[in-house]
Amino acid sequence: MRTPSTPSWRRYLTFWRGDIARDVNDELRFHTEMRVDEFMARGMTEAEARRAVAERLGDVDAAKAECIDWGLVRETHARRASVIDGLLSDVRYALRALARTPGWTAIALLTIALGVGATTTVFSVADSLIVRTFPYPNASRVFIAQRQFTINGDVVAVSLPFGMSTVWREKARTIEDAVLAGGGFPELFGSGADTLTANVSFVEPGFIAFAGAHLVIGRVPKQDELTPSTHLMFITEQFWRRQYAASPDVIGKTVKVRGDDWTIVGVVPASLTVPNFRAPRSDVLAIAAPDQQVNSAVLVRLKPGVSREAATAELEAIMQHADLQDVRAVPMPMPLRLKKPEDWLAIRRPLVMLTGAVALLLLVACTNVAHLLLARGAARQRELAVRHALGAGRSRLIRQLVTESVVLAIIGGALAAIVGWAGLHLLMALKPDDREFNALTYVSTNHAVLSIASALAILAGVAIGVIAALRSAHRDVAVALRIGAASSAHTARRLRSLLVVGEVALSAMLLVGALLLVHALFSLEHESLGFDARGLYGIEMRLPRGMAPAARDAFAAEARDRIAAMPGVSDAIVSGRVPGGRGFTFIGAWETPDHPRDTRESDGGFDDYAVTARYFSMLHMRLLAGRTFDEGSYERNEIIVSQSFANVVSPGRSPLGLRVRNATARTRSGIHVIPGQKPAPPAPDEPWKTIIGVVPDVVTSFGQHPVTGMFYHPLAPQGSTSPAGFGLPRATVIVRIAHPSALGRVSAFASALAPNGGSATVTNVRETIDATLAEPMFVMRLLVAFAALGVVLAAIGLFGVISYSVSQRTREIGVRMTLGATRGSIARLVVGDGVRLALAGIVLGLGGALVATRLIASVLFGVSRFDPFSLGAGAALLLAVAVIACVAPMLRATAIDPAIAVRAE
Amino acid sequence: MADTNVEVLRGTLDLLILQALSWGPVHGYAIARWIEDATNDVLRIEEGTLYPALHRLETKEWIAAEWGVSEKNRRAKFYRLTPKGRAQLRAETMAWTRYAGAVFAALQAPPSPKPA
Repeated sequence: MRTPSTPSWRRYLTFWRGDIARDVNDELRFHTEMRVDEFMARGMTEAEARRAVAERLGDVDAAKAECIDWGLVRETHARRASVIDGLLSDVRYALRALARTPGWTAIALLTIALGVGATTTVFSVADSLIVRTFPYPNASRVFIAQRQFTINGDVVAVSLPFGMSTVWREKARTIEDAVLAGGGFPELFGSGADTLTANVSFVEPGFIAFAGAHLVIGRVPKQDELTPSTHLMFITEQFWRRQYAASPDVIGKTVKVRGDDWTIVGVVPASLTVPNFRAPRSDVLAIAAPDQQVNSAVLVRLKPGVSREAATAELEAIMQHADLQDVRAVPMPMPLRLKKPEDWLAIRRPLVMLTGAVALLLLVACTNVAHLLLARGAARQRELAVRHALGAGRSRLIRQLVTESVVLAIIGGALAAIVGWAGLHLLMALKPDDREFNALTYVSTNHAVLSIASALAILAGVAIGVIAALRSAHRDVAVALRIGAASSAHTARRLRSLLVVGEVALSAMLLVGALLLVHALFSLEHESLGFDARGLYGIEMRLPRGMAPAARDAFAAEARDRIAAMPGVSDAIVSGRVPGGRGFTFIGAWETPDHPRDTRESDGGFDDYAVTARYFSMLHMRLLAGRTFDEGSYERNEIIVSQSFANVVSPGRSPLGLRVRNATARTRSGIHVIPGQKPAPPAPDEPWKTIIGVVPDVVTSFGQHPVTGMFYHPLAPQGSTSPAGFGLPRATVIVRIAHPSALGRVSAFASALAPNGGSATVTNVRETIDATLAEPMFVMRLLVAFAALGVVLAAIGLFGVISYSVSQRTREIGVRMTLGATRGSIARLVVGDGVRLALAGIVLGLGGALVATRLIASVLFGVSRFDPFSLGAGAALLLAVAVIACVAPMLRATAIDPAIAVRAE
Repeated sequence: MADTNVEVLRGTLDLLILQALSWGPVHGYAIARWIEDATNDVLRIEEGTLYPALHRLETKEWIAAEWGVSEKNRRAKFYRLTPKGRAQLRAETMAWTRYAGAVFAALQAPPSPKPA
């Protein structure tokens, strides 16, 4: 007797064994009988014959046993074959079942394809940007060395003291090599009419070998050929092809860059990647001479077996003891960090946003598919019940349902792979130009990721399908058969309603995020740059060293007058800084006489502008409150602040008349983010500054340094020994050009400054800002696309659940109509259902958005993340979509003939 | 009689079974009789080993089996050659012919010349 613990398959084995054994016995008995007959026919007695037969047969039992064994093997094969057969027939059945409801199938496939496709696209991007390393030899041992500190939760990266790489190369034992490589700032390249903007990075000659690259043409200069006065550079292969038609004659050619003459010594291959901060792909790799003050990243390659921690400790110790010029002073610790090159990419934050958005989207898609399957399962209760009654086992029914969802998931997954592939190519087409936007230039179409992501997505689809199928088949089929599908689906309806609410909520979050970005960037495009950038150029002039402040100011004033007098130029002013351009950023806390602050606190980063009184009118910058500077402003220490600055120091009240100073300045200076400058010596007693006006925020750099607001103080009167400019021989003129032809004249004038021992760069203010906006713009486009997808998916979900509910309530609606309900009241009933669900979702989603939009607050450029326009538009749009999604089911409901409906079941 | 028997190698038995089935479906007894007649009972097989061989070939799908009724109205298992088995028969026949030919040729060959 079988014990209860005997596994069930054993039963089949015994069963087969019995069957097989009987056949083997029969076969051998037949043989024996035939032989016996034969021998008896030859004259033997039966007993003799049987003996002779037994002798000829030999060991019959062994033979039988072997036959049975072979029989079992055959049984196993046959069983396997029948499973495959069954599977094929299941698949055929599933395909037929799906084809019977083409509308439903199309919606489910569309949902999977869009949701999963979008996910694979973004995962491919994330893979390119996060997972893959820079293509350097022994990349696993290559790190970027940088210092960093944390302020208000933002990690601020700080570059190293000048000459750090040289000291490390000489002294550090944990590393094989250290080279300077990085930058990527737009600079004027060439002179006269041929002037263009090129992205210039700085590298040491050793970088080429460090990166395992070989020059296309030219040579790598030796370290000892470099002196402070040598200006040698490589150009990149792309730049070489674009600008010089790949001519070999470029070697030895001298071009003006940053106002100096630089000689091209080589062309680096297109594949060589310089890890730039946030800047575009390099065009020019200027070769840094030993004591040129170059502010750029240092790449180190650790010796094999050395841990990141050990190397960090040694490099940090060497840095502490090296006597190097350090312009980065902050009143807080700045530990050294070794980062992987890809950690450096500024796109991380937007990428996190994107991945978040896509995760939401995938959730929406999964929710949709799950509830489509649930709805289908519930709708088929009757069919399943009938099939069960006709003898199909429950496991058989579950298998059928699971097969259906698997088939659906696989077809959907295949479509999703196509959508994902197309999406990736679309993305490649949409992404900003190589030269304007760094990080995405590293994105490539990676089909391996695409297939892995699709496979995972299919898996997710299968899992959802299995759960839904189990749920569908789990219900008591007998009950279902008795009372009809409509009533048994009651609990399922509540679940589906929850799913739809969640789905609408997720779409609302995506939509609000996208609308906020659209609002922020749209207003940036049009008005709220904070100023009028049309035709605006900044001319930054480096003057000969040792020039007296009076001479400098006179020079700047003369330059301004000469430029202003040029035809086509409408205005020119002297300024300490170009709006949105590079300059001094104060990071720290602001105190008032009533509220002293700790020097280690911080309110964020604040751009410091030294300007003339005419600055605001020249830039068409609106004065929001107060007045502008006058003659006495400099002496009275008056400042004008931006809106965000005002909100920080004087929340909810007018800041006019308020006296502030930066708390950090009591002890040390804030940090400088302008390359090549020494910090001002800390003022012994920082004077209080009085706020006299408020202006709009100016759009400024994105990513690298968080900038909270701006403050403006008057440029020192001409000729005074002013600290403005921090003693640097530098003068800046902002010029507004009315006619494009004037640009050439302005550039020519700027180049002409060089013979005096100085140099000048001309930058288009708009382009500089656009370059910093390229990234958020791109992210915005993606978010908008994803939000649109999310809305479509939510609409599908609502449509699905409402039309399902209408089909379930056909009988109820019939009864209502019989009892006198008008078509209008039925329509209200149906649409009301949908709107209720949508409203619940929208409320939840807006709540979620208020929390989630913190992630994108830093790229909203002045638009509050509680922006009523975005929140309201998002809610209204979703509500409208919800109503539209209910139209088709509503029409169906009002078309119900009560006489037929009531009889229907 | 026993001393004139040659032990039938397994591969040889497989080949003989395939050959026995090459004219049409037959049952195990008929195969045993055919081998007996065709080899003048020289290669007398131990009939007990015939059936495991048949089952093995059936598992390999060289032959297929079906229950039917014998000429004497008895229930019998009939074997027939599958296309796969027919191909196997052709291949093994050729191999055997070459092998036997080579061995026979060797037995007929003159003594090898002594090395000089």
